[in-house]
This record gives sequence, structure tokens and C-alpha cells, in this order.
Amino acid sequence: MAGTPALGEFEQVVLLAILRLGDDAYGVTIRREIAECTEREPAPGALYTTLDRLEEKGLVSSKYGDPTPERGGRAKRYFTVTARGVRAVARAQRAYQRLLRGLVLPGGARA
Amino acid sequence: MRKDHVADMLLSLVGSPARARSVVGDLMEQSDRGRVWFWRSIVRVFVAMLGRDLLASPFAMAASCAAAWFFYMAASLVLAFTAYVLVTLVWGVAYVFAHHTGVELLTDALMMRFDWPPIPGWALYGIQAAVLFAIAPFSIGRGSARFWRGHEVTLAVMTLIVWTVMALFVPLVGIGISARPSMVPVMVMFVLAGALFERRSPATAS
Repeated sequence: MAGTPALGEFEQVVLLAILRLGDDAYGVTIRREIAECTEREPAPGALYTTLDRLEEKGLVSSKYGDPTPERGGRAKRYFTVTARGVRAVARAQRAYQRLLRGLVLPGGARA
Repeated sequence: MRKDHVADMLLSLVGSPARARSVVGDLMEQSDRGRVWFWRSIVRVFVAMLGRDLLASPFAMAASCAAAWFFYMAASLVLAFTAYVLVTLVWGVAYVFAHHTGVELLTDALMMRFDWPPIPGWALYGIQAAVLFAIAPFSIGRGSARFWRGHEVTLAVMTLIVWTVMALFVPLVGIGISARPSMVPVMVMFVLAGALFERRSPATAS
């Protein structure tokens, strides 16, 4: 599909985490959501650079919230998946599903 | 200075200040993980953002650094020569006034006869070093930063890489000590200082 960029694995993970979190998607919650769902804690550097890259690609947008005292008066940067981001992640997931369809994985587990 | 302000400052060297503050805020929110985790995370974010910035437009930045090298060479020659002339004049005039009476001064001046001793070697080397390693790189850093606002540290890292290569492979007859690759890190420190000075300058800050 024209206009939707190819996504790396971690980019898909981040986009899905933001979609799951809805209006409460910022650095800490995204990281926590990924850790809970994948059982792998993402490196902070990888997460923030991926978020910046996704924003540059137009797949997510961000806005700053109000400063909070527990963060030393620093604002949270909230992320939202754009329509283009939704299309890109749906396309990537469909590709995974097509690849898995009818596949018997080693050990006998059926995809 | 508080640790979070240091972290803000560090991350704002590789990104916008607002973004740096939000990242530091995220890490502070997880302060129960301890100070070591906090600083390790800051360093990892810094390195990741720097790496990403370096790869964002590597060829344009490398070309800019290569051009800056030639500007540096030209500027250092002009500056070093100007400094030499000025110091020689100041040295000579000071010597003449210190060792001549009024009448001698007048006659010597009319006959253009000034026999002042040579400037000490340490003074000449000091001037040359100051110009080549500090003043010229600082000026180049200020100039380059105008094209790479918000990417000053990345610019310094790229300058270190490109200038080291240039110093290794570009034949520089007559430039002398400035062409040594081992001196490039010193020069790049002043390039970075100039770039950061330009960033903080109220005349250009926006």
C-alpha cells in the first residue's frame, strides 16, 4: 500500500503499546506496557529514539501535558498513533498473520 | 547543581530542551529504581540520541565538517599572521619606549632604525598555539553551529571524525603543528565550546 512505511519489529511493538494505552501513553507507561506484554524491558535509549523516529515518519504525534511535582515540574510527553500509524501497523500485522497461516512451528505448536 | 538539572543539560545537548525535560521527568518518575539506574539510563538515552542524530544526515554533516576544515586552515593562517604582526609591533614599540630617550626615539624613528631583540620563542609558540588550537576552532564552531542548531554535540563528534581523517590524509605543507591528528581532539573541544557559546548567545538564540 502506497504511503504506509515498512515497520521494524520494535516499532510495531511501540505502536501497539501506544494503541493499548489510549490517552495515557507516555514514556513510563509505554515502557511498562511493553515490559508486561513482551516480558522484555526495552532499553530507554531505544524507546525514546524509536518514538522520535515514529513521529518523524508521521506515525505518531505527541503533545506535552501539564508539569507535575513528582516529576520535578516536568511535563509528560503524550503519544497518539495517527491514522497513518494505524494503517502501517495493521498492514504489518496482516503480513505476520499471512506468514503464520498454516504453519506448524518446531516442537509441534500450531501457529 | 541538582542531579536532574545536570541530566536536563546533558540530554538537551542532543535534543530539544523540552524533550530532554520530559525524558528526565520519565526517569525521575521511576526514581525507586535508584540513582545508578537513573544515571545509567541518562547515559544510554544520550548515546542513543547521539547515534541517531549522527545517522540522520551523515553526509551533509560530514561535508559541512570537511568545509569547516578548509575554513579553519584559511582562518588559522590569517589569524596567526595577524597575531604575529600585532605582537611584533607591540613588542617592538614597548621595547623602544622602554630603552630609548626622547631624542633617540625621534632620530631612530626618522631613520627607521629599530634594533629590538627577537620575541621570545615561548611567546611566539604560545600565540601560535592559542590561535591554531583555540581561537580559530572556537570561531569555526560558532560558524558551524548556525547551520546545525540543536545538534552541537553531534557536530563535534562528526568534526572529530572528519578532521582526524583530514589531518591524516590531506597533505598540509607549512601548517605544522596544527595538522597533527593527535591535536584534533583539543581543537574539537574548542569547536564544541564555540558551538555551545553560539547556542547560548542571545543574539542568535530563538
